[in-house]
Amino acid sequence: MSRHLQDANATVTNPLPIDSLTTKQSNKRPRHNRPQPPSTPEISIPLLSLPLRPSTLTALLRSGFTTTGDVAQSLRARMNSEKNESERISDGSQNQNDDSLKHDHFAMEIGCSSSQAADYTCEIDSALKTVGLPTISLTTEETHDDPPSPPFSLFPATAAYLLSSKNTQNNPHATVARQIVSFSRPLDALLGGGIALSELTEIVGPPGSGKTQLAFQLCVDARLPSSYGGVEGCSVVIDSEGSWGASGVERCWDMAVALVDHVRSSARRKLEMKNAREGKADAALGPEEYASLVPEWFTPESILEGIHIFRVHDEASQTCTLYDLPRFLIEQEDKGLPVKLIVVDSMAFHYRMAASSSHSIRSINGKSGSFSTSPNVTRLATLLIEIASEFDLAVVAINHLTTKIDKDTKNGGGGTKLVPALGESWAHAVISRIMIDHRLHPESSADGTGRDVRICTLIKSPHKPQGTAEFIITDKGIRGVPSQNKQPVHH
Amino acid sequence: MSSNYSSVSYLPLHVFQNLISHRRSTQGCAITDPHELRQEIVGRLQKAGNATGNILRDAATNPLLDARNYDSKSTKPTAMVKELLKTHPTTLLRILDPLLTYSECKVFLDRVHKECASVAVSALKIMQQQHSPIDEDENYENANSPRLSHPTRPNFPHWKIPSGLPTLDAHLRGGFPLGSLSELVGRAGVGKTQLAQQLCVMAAMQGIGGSIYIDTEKKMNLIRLREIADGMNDKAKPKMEDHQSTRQVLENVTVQSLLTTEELMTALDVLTKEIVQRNAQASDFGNRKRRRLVGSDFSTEANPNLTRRLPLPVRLVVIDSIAAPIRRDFDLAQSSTISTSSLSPSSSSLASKRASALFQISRKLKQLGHDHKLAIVVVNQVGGGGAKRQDGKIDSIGPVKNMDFNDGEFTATLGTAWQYCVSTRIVLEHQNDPHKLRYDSGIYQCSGHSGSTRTATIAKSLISRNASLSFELSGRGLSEVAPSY
Repeated sequence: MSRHLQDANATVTNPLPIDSLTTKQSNKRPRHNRPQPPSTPEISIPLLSLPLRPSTLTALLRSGFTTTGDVAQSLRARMNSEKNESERISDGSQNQNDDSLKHDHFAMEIGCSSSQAADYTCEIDSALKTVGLPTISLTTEETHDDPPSPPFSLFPATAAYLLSSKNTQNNPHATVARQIVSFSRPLDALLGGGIALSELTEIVGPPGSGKTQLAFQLCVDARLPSSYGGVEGCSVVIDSEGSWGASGVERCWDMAVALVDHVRSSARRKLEMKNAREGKADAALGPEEYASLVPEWFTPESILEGIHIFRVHDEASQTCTLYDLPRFLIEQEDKGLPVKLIVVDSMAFHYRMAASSSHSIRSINGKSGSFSTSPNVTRLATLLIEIASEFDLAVVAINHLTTKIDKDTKNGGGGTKLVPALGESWAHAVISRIMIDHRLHPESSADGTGRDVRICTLIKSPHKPQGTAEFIITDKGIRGVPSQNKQPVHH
Repeated sequence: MSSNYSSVSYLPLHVFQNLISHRRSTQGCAITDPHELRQEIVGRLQKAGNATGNILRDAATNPLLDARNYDSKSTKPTAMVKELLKTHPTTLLRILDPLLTYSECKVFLDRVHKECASVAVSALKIMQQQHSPIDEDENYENANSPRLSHPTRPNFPHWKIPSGLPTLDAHLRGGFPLGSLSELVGRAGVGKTQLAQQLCVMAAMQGIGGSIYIDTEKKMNLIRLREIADGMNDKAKPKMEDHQSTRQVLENVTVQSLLTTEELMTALDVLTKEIVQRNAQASDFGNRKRRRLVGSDFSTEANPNLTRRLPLPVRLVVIDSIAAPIRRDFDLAQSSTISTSSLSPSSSSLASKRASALFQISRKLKQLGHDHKLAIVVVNQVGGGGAKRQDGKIDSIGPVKNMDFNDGEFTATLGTAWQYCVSTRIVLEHQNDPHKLRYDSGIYQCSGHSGSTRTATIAKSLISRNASLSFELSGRGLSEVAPSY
C-alpha cells in the first residue's frame, strides 16, 4: 500500500498554493483506504463533460470540436508542419511567438484570435487536470496555480483490504483509540466505546437537556493521552449560540481539572499497586516513575489551550468558517497538535431565522415546513463528512428540536410534535444520531440529583443497536448515574 | 466578521489579486486588474440576482422579517456574500462567464471563505480574559492604577452582574454573565421587573457599568428605581453619599419605550451607536479624571469634581418584556396578525414566522452582547396553560410546558424556539397564588400580599445546577429570606 501512495505523491512535483484543499492533501497525507491507480493511458473525452465556461463551449462546439482529441489533433497538426519553418527562424524567437504559432491553426479553425485560442487551451488543460487526466497542451511548464490531481480514485478498494487496514472502525487490531469517551460508562457502552472518529454524529434534544454540557465533556476528553485510551487531540468548536463564552469556558475548566485529577490519581494507584506487588511497599513515588505514567503536558491549562473556539454570528460566517476549516486543520497538524474533534454548537441556530414564508407550507406527509435550508445544509453536511474522513476526526453537530404540524387525522389531527430541525436530508446525512432528554419523572432523591438525570437515546447508528442510557451532570462533568445498573438498555 | 462584507463589492482587493492564472493572464484576454475584476464580478452577480428575482420575491412576502437583511440605502438587491456562498462553483461559472474559469471560480470562493471566516480563540485565552478587568484601556497601567473614591474597579468576580440575592449570585458564580443572554420568567406580579431594575441598580452602584432599559409594556417606574437605589445604598459598604450614589445609578440608566416587534428590531440596530457613544464617554472621563487628580488624595473632599458625574460604560441591556411585542404582532390565539399578508393565516405559518422573528432577535442580541461585553436580560411572561394533550405530547403551537413547573398549569410564552435562545433562565414563582381569591364568610379575600415569600429557581444555566432560593419584595427591592415551608 505504501508503494502506491509514494507514487501518488511523486506525481505532484511542484509546491502548490495553500488555496486549495486537495493540494495539501496529496502532498502531505496519505489518503486513507485508497490504493492509487497506475498511470492512465491517453484518452479523449467529450468536451461537454468538462467544466468549461459556456462561451468556450459554444465557440468550440460551433466549430466542430467535440472531444479533447479533436483539439489535441488541431494543435499537433500545426506543430508538425511548422517544425521545418521554426528551425529556420533564428534562436531569438520567444516563447510567445511559439505559442501563437502553435495556436494559429487552432485559432483559424475556431475563428478567433490566437491569444483567445491560447486562452481556451489553458482552460481545457486546467479542466483536464481537475479531472485527473493528462493535458493536451504541449507546453511542459507547470505554473504554480494549476489545480492538482483529482480527489477521487478510479480504482475501488476491496472490503478485505479495508478491514485489514488499521484505520477501520471497530477493528480489533486497532492500536490507536478510535473513539472519544464521555465519562459515563453506560453512555460509552451505548455508543460502542464513545463518539467515533471519522464520522458525523448528531446530538439533538430539547433546550436545557445537556447537549452543550456533553460537548464540553467531549472536548476535554479528546485530549486524553493515548496511554489512557484517548485520542490525544485538540478540538475545534464552531460556536453559533455563544454558549462557549465566559461561562462555558469556566465549565470546561472544571471538567479539565476533574479529568486531570482522575488520571493522576489512577496513575498513582496503579503505581502503588505495582510497587506493592513487587515488594517495594514503602517506596515513595519518585517523580520519574510518576512522569512515566502521566505525560507532563497533560494539565488543565493545556487542555483548555487545545480547545479552539470560533464564534460565528450569522449564517454566512458559519458557512465560511466551515469551508475554511481544512486550512486551519492543516495548520494545526503542522504544528504537531492535530485536531481530533469538531463540535458545531449549534448547527441549527442560524438556519432557523429564515422564515418559511417564501415557500408554501408543505403538508400532508409531514415534511417539515419550518424552514427552507435544504441545499446549503446538505452541502455543509457533505463538507463535514469529508473533513471527518480526510482528517480522521470526530464531528459532532448539535441540533434543535422544532415543532412539526401533524396533519395526520389518525391522532385526532391538528396536533404537533417535536422533531429534529434541519430537515430530512440532514437526517440522512448524519451517521449517528443521539437524542438527549430529561428523565420524564424526576424523583426527588435525597441528594437532589434526581433532577439532573438525563436520558440518552441512540436513534440511529451503523454500529450499535438502538437503546438508551442515563447519565447525570455533576460539578465535575458528565458521569454515570451512581446508584443504578451500569448497563445500557438495548431495544 | 462577515457583516463587514455583506456585499461582494466590499471584499478587499487582495481577494481579487492574482486570481487569473498566470498562463491566462499573459494571453491578454482576461481582466487582471483587481478593481476592474471586482466591479465586473459585482455587476454580473447583480444581473443574475435581478434575473432570478428570488431576492425580490422573498422581500415582498414578508416585509417585516426579510427587508432587514438588505442594504437599507438602496432598494435594488446588491451582490451579497450570503448569496454568493450558496452558489455552486458551476453556477458561478455560468454567471461570471467569461471572466473566470472553473478552477479560478473555486479559488475565488476559497478566498471569500477565508476572508469571511471568523478567527479562533483558545478557551484558555477566554478564561484569562475573564480574570483581568473588563475595560482594557491601553493607556491604563493596571498595576499602578490608583483606586479612585468611586469603585470603578470592581472587586467582585469579573464579567458578572450581581443580583443582590446572595444564593443566586453564589450559584451563578457571581451573577448574570456578560456576553450572554439571560431570561427572567414568571407570572404577573411576581417581581420580574423589580429584579431587572435591581440589576440596573447593582450594576451602576458597583461601578460595573450602566444600563439600557427597553420597556415594551410601559411598566418602568422611575420612582421605584430610585427607591431600590436608595435601599441598596443603605446596605452597601463602603457607604457613599446617598444622593451621589443614587444619582450615579439614575444617570447611567437610559430608558426606551417601544411597542411593536419592528420597533424593537430597529432599536436593536441603533443600540450599537448609543453603546459606543457611552463607552467612549466613560473611557474619556476615566482618562480625564486621572489627569485631574489633585496630588495623591483621591477623597471626595479634595476632588469634588470627580464625584459629580461618573459615566460608566454600558454593561447591561434589559428588555422588559420580550413577550409583549411578540404576542401583539404574532398572536396565536387568533389567527390574524398586524402585518396581514396574502399567505394563508393558518396558525402553522404564523408560528414559524414567530419562531423566525425570535431567532432573529436573539441573534442580534447575542451579537450585541458579545461585541460589546454586555449582559442581556430579557423578561418573559407566563401564559395561561396551553391545552395539554391526552397522550402527554407537547402542544407546541402555543405555550410550551416548562419542564420545571410541576403541575403544568402555567407555561412560559414564546414556545420552544425561544427556550433554545437563552443561556440562563431564572424562574420566579409565588409560593401562594396571590391571584386566587378565597370566598370567606361572605366576602372575597385575596390570599397573597405584597410581602409574601416568592421563590427563584435557576432553571437553565451552563454553570449551575437547578437551585432554588426564597426572596421577598420590600421597599428596598428584592432581598433574600430563609425559605419558609
